[in-house]
Amino acid sequence: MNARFGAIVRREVGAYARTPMGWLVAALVLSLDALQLNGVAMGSERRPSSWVLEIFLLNASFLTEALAVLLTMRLQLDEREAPLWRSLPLGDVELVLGRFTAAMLWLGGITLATLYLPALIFVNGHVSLAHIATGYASILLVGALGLAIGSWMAALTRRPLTAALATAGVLAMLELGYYVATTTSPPWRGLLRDLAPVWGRGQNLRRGIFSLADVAYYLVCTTLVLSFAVRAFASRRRS
Amino acid sequence: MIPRSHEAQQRMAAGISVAAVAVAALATYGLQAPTLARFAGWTVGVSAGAAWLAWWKARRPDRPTTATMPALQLVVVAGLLAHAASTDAGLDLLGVAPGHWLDRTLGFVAAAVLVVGSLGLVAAARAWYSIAHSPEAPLERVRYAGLRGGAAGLNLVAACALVAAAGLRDVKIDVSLLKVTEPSETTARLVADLPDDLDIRLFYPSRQDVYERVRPYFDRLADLNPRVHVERLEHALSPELTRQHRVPSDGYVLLSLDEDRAEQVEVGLDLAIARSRLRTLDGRVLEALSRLTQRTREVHLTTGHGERGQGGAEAASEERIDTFVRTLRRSHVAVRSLGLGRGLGSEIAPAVPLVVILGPRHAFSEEECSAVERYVASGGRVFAAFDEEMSPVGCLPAALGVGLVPGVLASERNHVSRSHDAADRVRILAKAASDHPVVAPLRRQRSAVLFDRANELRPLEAAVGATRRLVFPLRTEADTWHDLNGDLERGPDEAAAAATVLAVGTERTSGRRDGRIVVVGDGSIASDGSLTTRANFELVGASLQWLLEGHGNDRVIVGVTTSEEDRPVEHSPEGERLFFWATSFGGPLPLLLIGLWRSRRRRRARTLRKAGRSDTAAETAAETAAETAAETAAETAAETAAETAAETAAETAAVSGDVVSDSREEE
Repeated sequence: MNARFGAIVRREVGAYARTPMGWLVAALVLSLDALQLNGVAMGSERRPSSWVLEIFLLNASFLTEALAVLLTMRLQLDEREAPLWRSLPLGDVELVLGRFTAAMLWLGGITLATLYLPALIFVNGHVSLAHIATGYASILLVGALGLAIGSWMAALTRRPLTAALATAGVLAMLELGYYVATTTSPPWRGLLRDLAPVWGRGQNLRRGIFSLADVAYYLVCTTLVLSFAVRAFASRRRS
Repeated sequence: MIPRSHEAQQRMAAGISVAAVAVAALATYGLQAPTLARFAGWTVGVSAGAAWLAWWKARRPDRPTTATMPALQLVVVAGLLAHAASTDAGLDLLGVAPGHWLDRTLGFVAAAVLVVGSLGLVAAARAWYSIAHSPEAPLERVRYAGLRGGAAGLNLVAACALVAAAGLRDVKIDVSLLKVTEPSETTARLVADLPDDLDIRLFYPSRQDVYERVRPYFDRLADLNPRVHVERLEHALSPELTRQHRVPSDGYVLLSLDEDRAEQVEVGLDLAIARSRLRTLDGRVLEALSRLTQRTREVHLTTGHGERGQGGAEAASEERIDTFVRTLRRSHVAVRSLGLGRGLGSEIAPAVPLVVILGPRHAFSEEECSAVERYVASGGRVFAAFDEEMSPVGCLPAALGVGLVPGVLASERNHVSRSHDAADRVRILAKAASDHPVVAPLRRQRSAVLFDRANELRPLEAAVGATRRLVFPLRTEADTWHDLNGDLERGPDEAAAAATVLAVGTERTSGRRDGRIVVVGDGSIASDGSLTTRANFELVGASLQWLLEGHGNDRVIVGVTTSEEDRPVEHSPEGERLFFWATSFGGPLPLLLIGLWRSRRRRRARTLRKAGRSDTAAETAAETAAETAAETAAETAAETAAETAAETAAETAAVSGDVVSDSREEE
């Protein structure tokens, strides 16, 4: 399993790196992150450093969700090659997890490449390094959850665009749940708020508060959705 | 084929499940703890009707089935029964009190069994319907689908349980800079000088997030003075104390000198909500301590001359003085107004501890100047901040013994950027050069005060005499010039030199206390915009403290609190432009170039491969052609040779034959 899993990851990461589109997407994310830091987070008035960082992390989280939606298109297995991947001597778990891990490595690489942006706050302000670390952990966890949902949608649908749109729809519903929660009463209010990956669960980490409950939510949900993705893919492979 | 009776049985079970779901939903959300008879009546009636309907519809014998679905339906029914038992009516029936561990367990078990059974049932039903019209299809698929659905349900339940458990046993660690810091110098001074015992009681449960952050701050206060005692109490376990001091709940800090004198500070229990309070904890503790330990004093702000602070809440930060007023309140100093109707035009009462004049825009009248002069001469204290925005300047500077030099002070190098143009040159910096108490904190911290459109102050020879002493303890850098023509450019007649922007004077009197004045050449020095700069805050705080000294027996403490830990991001024009272009486009450019390079390399490799293939083909063709040609040539040559040889041989043979025949003939 390890050797085959590693081979899939290497092949997929190589595929991201070989195509100019992979680099173009990376450059676009970096550029958008820089623009939102300069234009939105920094603002024109004197803002507290931690506030600037919090706004940057919030916008970067949404950009990462969008990136996960884009990468979902590559998680879709080409239906025209169905006879090939149906007959491959690889397990369902290896295929789904291998492609997910490769996409996660690419997403993580792009996200970590933006680390120099919050470091710029040190030029004219001051924030704690651990605050940046928790913020980036939240971005990576949001990205992992987005990609897991993307894997599931890719296994359920037959076209890359449909998978991307379905992923965007699920993420949008989860995020909008945070605002819908205000019109509901307990226990739905708390439940809907806690389900929103960026607005709800990302709050503490963005503010520099490491919360075990939030990290557990991201990890458990990612694992759960990946298990659904494996089941859906297995069902599709054998249909 | 599956017997008809199995089919009917399965349909009936499905009907019962649906009926049970409906009844459980009604019992839980609709009827709210009905009587047992009512609950039973609903259940029996709806179930019987649904079962009959199911049996009637399931008469077709042409569909296959397995035991999987009835088994999963039983699981769902078990979940529904557990759910019904967890309702008020069910708990009454079981004799379990609400909140009992069995109540919570039943709720969880019901939800878990329902999720597992329902997902398994849905998956099995889907598989069953997909093979319903294929009698030869394997029924094993239904069982596997049911198992897969049930397993997915178990995963979901396990995930929910894990997230819920993590929420219950949550651990939060605040790693940002927005946390409780050490007590400020101002608070520490106040605590260190306390003559009485001070009890600090923190109302918190043990091992609580906010408590863990707050406790070190108060422990530090206890270290400063042995008379300070800190302890943790729980609200529920201290009913007498909480009733006596009206502490509403946990999450409060009670500071008490004795049974009657106590103040409380609300911090809160939830870390996310308490964060903003934690940031200002030092200031709020200082305010509570000041109320406890110091008597109320008054500061009188002059009005009627367009002073700062009269623009309302919507005015610019340079016009508001909210921070100034809040700081005074924290030190238990009340703010009153002083206008013509309250003695400014005739006689300021000597009992007034301090008169504050903040950035007037209209000149004081002769009567008002005279009243201020007499007030200082009788031991009064004045804090005045004005510049040439006061138009006309009038008699006020002279009444305080200073002259206002025309021309706004500007500097090309020692300024702080805000609008990123020439207008920033009037936002100059001044460093302390004296050890006067008013500027001593600045000198100690080596910090510079920020002045916005300030004017230089000069001593008036006529005003300084045997009784009045005037010093100028704060200077700007040597590149400062007086911008006389307002063009913000240094002209030939605008010489650069260090300028004095702060005057501090004492007036010896025959009374118990001396008169004191502090004059600042910037009318906005005490505004909200100015006080965001820590050094400005220190200057104003130290000035007020020095001016209020000697009024009464105890000393007043006014100063900066440690609530401004979160440093604002300063904007600088050149740097920002550079960062904008470098980060927005310079950073992503290498990635784009790598992408283009890899793409080009790949294209070239592909072209080379193609070219390689055509070369190989040509070579192969040439080789083939050569081989063919050689073979043909060889064959031709061989054939020719053979033919020639044959002909020669034949000829030879013929000749030989002729010879032989000739010789035979000769013989």
